[in-house]
Amino acid sequence: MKKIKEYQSELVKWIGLVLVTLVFGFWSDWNLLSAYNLNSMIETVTPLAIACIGMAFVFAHGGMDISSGAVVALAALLAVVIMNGTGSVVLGVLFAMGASMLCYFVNVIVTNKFGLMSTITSLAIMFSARGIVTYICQNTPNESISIANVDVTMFKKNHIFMIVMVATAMIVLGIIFNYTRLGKGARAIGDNHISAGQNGVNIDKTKVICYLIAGICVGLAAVFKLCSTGMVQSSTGNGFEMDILVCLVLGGMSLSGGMGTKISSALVGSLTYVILMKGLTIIGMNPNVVILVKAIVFIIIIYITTQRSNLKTLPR
Amino acid sequence: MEEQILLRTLGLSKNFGDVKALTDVSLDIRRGEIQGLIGENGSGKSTISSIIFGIHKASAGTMELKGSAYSPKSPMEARQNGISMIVQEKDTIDMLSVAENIFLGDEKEFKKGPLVDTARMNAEAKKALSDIGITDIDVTEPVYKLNFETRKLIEIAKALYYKPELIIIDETTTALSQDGRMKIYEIMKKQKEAGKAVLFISHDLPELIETCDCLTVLRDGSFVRKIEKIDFSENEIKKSMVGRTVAENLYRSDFDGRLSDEVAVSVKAVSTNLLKDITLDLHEGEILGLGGLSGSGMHELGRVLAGLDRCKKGEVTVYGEKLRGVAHALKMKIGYISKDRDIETLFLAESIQDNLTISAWNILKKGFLILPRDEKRFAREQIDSLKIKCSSEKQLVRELSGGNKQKVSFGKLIGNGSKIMVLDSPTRGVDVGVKTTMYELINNLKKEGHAIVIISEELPELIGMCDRILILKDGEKSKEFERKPELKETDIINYLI
Repeated sequence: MKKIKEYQSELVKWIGLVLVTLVFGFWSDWNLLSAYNLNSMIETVTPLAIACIGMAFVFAHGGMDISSGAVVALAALLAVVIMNGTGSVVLGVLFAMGASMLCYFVNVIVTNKFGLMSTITSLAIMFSARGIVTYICQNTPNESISIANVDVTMFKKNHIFMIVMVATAMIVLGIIFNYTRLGKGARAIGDNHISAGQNGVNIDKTKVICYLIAGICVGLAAVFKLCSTGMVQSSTGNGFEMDILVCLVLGGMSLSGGMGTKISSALVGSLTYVILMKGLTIIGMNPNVVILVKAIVFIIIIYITTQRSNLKTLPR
Repeated sequence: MEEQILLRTLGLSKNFGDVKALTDVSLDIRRGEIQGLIGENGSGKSTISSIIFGIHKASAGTMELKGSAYSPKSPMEARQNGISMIVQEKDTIDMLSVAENIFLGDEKEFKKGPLVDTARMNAEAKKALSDIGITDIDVTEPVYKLNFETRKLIEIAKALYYKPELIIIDETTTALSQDGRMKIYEIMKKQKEAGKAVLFISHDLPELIETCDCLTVLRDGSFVRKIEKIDFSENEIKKSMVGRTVAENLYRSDFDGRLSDEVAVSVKAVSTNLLKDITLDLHEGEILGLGGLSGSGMHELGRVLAGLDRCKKGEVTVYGEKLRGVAHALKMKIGYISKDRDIETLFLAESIQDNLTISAWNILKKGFLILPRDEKRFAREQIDSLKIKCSSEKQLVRELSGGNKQKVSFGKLIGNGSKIMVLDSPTRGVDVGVKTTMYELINNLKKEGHAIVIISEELPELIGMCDRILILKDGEKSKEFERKPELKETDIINYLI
């Protein structure tokens, strides 16, 4: 019984995932789990889950980021240019990661140096990145740049590869998150940065590494996004940042961070989210209404998570 | 006799999660009585008073007010029933004016159309204050401009404005100067003479003995005994509080103030914004006391020693090596407990285990990994050796009593093998039982050769524990005292002010 209580929040989110799958599976006559839909869901969830796992490090230390959509666009743009120029996918991936890491590096350095709220800095990064992408795309003939003469099937249709990538990210970053000084330090900062500092956590350095990890993940997500559509345009990655936010919250991540944050929230959250959205589409809901449903789900989950953290405490 | 009883509680219990804060407490508060409530930290004093005042709801048990059932759902309802309370914590809102604070929640009494009649409210506030003998406060000023003591007085005025039949005063006097205390005693006396009642919670035993008609002692959330005024004796009360006989002398018994030759930390002509040219040596096996008033720079000196604040001039060396920042300090085995323990040293929302291990990650890590198994073993060791009272190492620190929280802070330092310990106000807000344990612990650490700095505003503590006492005043070294039996508070006070 005590064990159950300890893992209560962990259980709740897995049960949520199973419930969503069952409800929409039943509703759609199990069409939801057809091979076609499964593959399509894997394609959607891969970039989302990878980005969420990386972003968990930012949220765990109390940071907040709304630039990831624009960063994805910028990284994808750079990737497509490099791929088309050199014919190498690997170089494209590396440059995408590099661009994304640079964005997040600037973000965290500015935040640290000027003591800004991380949301505000990420807003500036978002506008800059989006601005660059829009400017470049509008000066091309089709207002978009497509992948030419490079084989990106691996990132587009190889579902086993996608699952392996997500699993690798989850395992490697999961270990860092749970069992190393970096992960523990990041979570401690989220709880109480003064205490963390007095207990020897190097706050600035920890934050920088967390943002760089997020950068790697968002860069990788950008490549998956790029390859699934085959091109970059000014609207690439629109709304991605909000999807990440909804996924993390859906997975039970506390938006203020802290020791209690679980990286599994990123995975469970994005799975639940993708199944929910797919399910709604399959049962024939108007796409415009789906957005409204997103909003309602978001508010309900926020309500539940804040209720849960609002535990009773002793008077002194 | 029955009608004499104003408030009666019958078998009150309160659980917070798994923690039993109060178990089956029954007590009577009579008219014309000042009843003292005493007990160690975590004994349930604040819990029972907040149930009476409607802040918390009892898990079990009932209350009777003037013979009829009483179960307030909110402080508002308690107030309507003639019960007021002055809480332990700060209860004013900084940006609001004095008058607005006094009538917070009762603005509708001053309605003029849709607006609040500020002039009338201010006049009433002035009256409320003068009722308790305060006439020199501008009620339109925002309270953040006032000092802590004045804010407390405002809360008292607020509590009394409603002419309560029962007023609960929860550890308010500790925040007040002698002058402020006198005012409170005066108010309590008036209340008593008017045939009303006071429930008075304090840690200050002499004060309770002086002012109360009877004392109720709580321990671990249970009722221990009620002592009438004629039976008051300090030792007897202490014994019922702690459940065992408490030594007359809390402190070290020896007066051997000799220092070892090994210098652990050396502060050389350090100046910061506040400190001016401070030089001192801290020896192994020494307890060095830093005393002074709150603006004297003693807390800042502690932070400098812990590597948290940088020196503008001069340097701090640890075994000859220059101190560079807090991470380096930890590496050099310097441990620090802040005076704001709950904010700066602990993670209240986290488990005891997470709190204890955080400063020991370097010791626990195997390769890159810190494994939960090792963390748990480490935490259990500290919990057992310090006798931290908890349900398990997974219990949240915020659920612990003040004394146990402080033990967790100590556990961090001992656990990560600190050789040099900077303890800022280590016994602030802990009761006599825990204090004794702390002093024993500090003394043992000294004997093991640790170099210890105690920063404290309590002179008896410094005199009782330290080999040397350094008094700071306005950032400068004002006087140094050696350990000796004849040293008295009065000798030191002149150098403080």
